[in-house]
Amino acid sequence: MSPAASAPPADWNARRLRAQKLLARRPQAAPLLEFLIELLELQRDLFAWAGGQDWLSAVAAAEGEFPRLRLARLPLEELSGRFSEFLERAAEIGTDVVRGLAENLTAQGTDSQRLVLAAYLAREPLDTLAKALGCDPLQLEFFPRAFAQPLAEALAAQAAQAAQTAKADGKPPEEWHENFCPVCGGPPQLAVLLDEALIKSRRLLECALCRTRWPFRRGLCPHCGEDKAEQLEIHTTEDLPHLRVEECKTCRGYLKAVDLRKDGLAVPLVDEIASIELDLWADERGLWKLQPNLVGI
Amino acid sequence: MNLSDSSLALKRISASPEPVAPGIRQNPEIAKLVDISRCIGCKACEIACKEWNELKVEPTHNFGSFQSHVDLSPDTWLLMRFNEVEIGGDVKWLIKKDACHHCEEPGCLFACPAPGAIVQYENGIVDFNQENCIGCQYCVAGCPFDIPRFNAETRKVYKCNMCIDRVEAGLEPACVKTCPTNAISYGTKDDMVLLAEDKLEVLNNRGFQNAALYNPEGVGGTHMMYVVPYGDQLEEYDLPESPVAERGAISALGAIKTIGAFLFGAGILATALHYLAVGPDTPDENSHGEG
Repeated sequence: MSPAASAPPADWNARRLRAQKLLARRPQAAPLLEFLIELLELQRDLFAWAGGQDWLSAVAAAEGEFPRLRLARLPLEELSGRFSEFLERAAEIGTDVVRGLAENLTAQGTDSQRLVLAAYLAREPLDTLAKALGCDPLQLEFFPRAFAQPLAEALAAQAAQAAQTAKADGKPPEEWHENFCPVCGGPPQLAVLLDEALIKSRRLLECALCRTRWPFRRGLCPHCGEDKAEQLEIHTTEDLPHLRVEECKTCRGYLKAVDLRKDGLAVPLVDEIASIELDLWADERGLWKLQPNLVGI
Repeated sequence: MNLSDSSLALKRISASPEPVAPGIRQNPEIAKLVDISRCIGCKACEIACKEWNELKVEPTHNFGSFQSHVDLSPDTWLLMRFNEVEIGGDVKWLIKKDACHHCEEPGCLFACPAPGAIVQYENGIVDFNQENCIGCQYCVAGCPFDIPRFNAETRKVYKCNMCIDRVEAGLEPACVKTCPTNAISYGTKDDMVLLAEDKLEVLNNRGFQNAALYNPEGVGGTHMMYVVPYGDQLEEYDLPESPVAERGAISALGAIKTIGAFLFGAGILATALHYLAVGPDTPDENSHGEG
């Protein structure tokens, strides 16, 4: 058992298989899952490509500094060609909205595309760029995010390997108490609950970007830090027993949790997307999601 | 009965087949009763245990649980374990005070091959005597609750001794004294069983129909018992349903002794029968002459 922050293995095949299985079981999420399956193929190629690049020294933070990776330092000139290609392929697999926006971005040329990518990697708001393109910032964010996610995942894997080899100094990740990823600084996409031999009901947060999981305190809102039990509600449904909505009554935010104790075969990233009805229910309840998922829900 | 009468007369000694001769004075059996329904998970008992027993502070960190440490250790004799389960549509936290249960039939003692390394007092406390411990860790394997912990530096094994020095002085164990909600009670075993019955009645009236006393028979009962609100969820509390104390070394020694005594008696009997049937053996004069 290792309580330290760690990335689950980037098993793209398992993600695809899970998405295909859920596609058969959950027709209500079919459009999302069909798109996800196609997108995972694109991301898998990007992950393989990024794994062969030597970017780690450029993006690694100084010893003892967190997050460990500074994605804004990625060489944009090397990425822009791939990003253009990604936009073209995304247009082929996407919905009308995705296709329209991808074509719009492609038509704007590589400089505009590079601006979008640079702003996203630097965690700057995309509002101005979205306004110039006449689209919603959340819709625009899909492209740099879907593109950067496998790159971040590949870099996180490289960083973990390097740290293991070098026994990296600095603050060990297991002492990480923050609500953002210790590796890439990304926000939490979801919570994962699991049992281990000596610790029952562990709660980990999973990064929306590099998929690193880090332990997070039970009974604490990752957004506002509320820790009063009466302010934190858990909602479950019989249809999806391994998924829950964790609501904070103080900030009205919510995060979905995937309970691997109830379904050890679940792939949190995929199951979270496939449980769209929970998001719709939360929306009706007036809650806002701490971090929309890859497909913008 | 006054608990200060609970002297430290020995009842069992490891690797010693003979039962210890009972003293003239009858000592009361003592017990702790942990009412999990009253526990708020504050972990004050963990701190009290560390302080009183002067156990080393072990740095810990957040690992996504309410537990303070991952596991028991030679310097952590008491650990509150937390498990979140859904019962009746509600999320419940099941808490377990993980420490030595001080079994009436202690598997650790039965497994121990080192004379005097583990003793059981008449009051029920099972204590480790590290001076006699040979570090074989048989006790670790013999404990059905997985409590004793081996220290690789000292090559000895450690666990809760129910604050035996306090008990000897007529005081309650440190965890009992510090508990802010009186979730842990202390007294004679008989009184604690009666108290548990009262608590179960209250819990039953509050709707906890499966509330139960955890005092498993497979180990002869324990001297740390639990009142468990959800008695049908013992596995979720990480409490073994039917723990059994294996009488390994002790029973082997007893069996060998019985067989030896039988063979010795049979030998004497055979000699006597041979004497009666054949008479005394006389020297053979012919063979004597040849010699």
